[in-house]
Amino acid sequence: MTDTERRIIEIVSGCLELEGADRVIAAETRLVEDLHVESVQMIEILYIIASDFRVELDANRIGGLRTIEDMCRYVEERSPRADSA
Amino acid sequence: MIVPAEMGTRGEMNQADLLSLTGANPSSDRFIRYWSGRSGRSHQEEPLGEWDGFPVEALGHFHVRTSSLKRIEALVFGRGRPLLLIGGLGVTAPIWLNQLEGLAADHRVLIIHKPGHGLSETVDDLSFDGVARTILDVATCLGFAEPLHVVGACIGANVALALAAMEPTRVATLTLVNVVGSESLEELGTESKDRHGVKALMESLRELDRTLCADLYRDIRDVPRDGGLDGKRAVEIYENSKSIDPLAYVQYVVANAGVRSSLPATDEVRARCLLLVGEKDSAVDAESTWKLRSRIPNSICAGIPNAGHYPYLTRAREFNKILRDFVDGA
Repeated sequence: MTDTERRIIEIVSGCLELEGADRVIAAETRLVEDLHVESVQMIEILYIIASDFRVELDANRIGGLRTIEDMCRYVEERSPRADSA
Repeated sequence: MIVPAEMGTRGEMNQADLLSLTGANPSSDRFIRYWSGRSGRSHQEEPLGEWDGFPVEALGHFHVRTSSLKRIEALVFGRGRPLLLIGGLGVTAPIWLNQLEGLAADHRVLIIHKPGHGLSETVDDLSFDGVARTILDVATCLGFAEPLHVVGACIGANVALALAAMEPTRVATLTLVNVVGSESLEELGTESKDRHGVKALMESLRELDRTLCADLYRDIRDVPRDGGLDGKRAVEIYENSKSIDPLAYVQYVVANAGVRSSLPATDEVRARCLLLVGEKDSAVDAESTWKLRSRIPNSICAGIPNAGHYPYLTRAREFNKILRDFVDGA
């Protein structure tokens, strides 16, 4: 698991108040279908990720961020803070 | 089963798949509940079904492949002047149930689910202009060649306005119901935020949702006894019509809220325009609608007293009469 992935899982689990998130959430986990994220929760998750990694939210790309892996890729393409260690 | 001659069926159209074409009854519980909880999840191809009882000769339920190769859902009812209905953020076809019952007997009613709503996939460009382009694409694909009578509600009205400004010859009349003023969108401000800012944005959006809900309940409570409204049914329709992909919701917010130029060049609109407001709308300031009148040539205003944000749901008789008089008087 990369640092980016670990951090994004922390953010998602924090927003959803999930316990034991590392056992529940994996790279391929889908936010809507698997975690039942609702609209305003999605706002929180994406804005906090944008803030933490200092990336802009690109409206044209948001629709494709369906899994944790999609989010990691989005962040790693844009953020100086993301790494794949 | 009657197939509208100019519409064709599966295989005759280039990009539209007909899911069902039936004598379907939109008043049925199945129609009202069909979209609830489906958006953004894996598409379920379960057809709307075959029922009897609706006094309109045809219902077409379509998936249309747009030029961006995304699948957009559309429904067509009735026969007559073409009437395009564009709903607000997060709501789907059942919200227009009263208009289907009241207008589809002598209008061809087209409901297009905006990208990310119902079974429509989301698309990259969810600006009002982008959504307007997608909707025009779908209407064209379904064979709606003559100018449309376009009705938009809430941000659906912003989309309708963008459509009329972009393609004036495609619009016969334009009806904007509780159109969202640019000031309201700017106030939401969606620039980068720290955690405190994110919480504040979330609270604004939740507050907006609470306001809309409270508006609906107050509206139902205040309806005259002879107003023909079944309040319990109206709430059921409202709740079940909600169907939006959560990712698309964020996209709409990022693409349109906080954008200074969120109203299009309104002087480009050529169609006669009706600005219709529920005078007790708690979410959209009627004042911003009155201001808009001076910016749209050939526009008139009408208010429905004591109505809130959903006059087409809670004051359907009045709403349908005003709309019919405007459209049919064109």
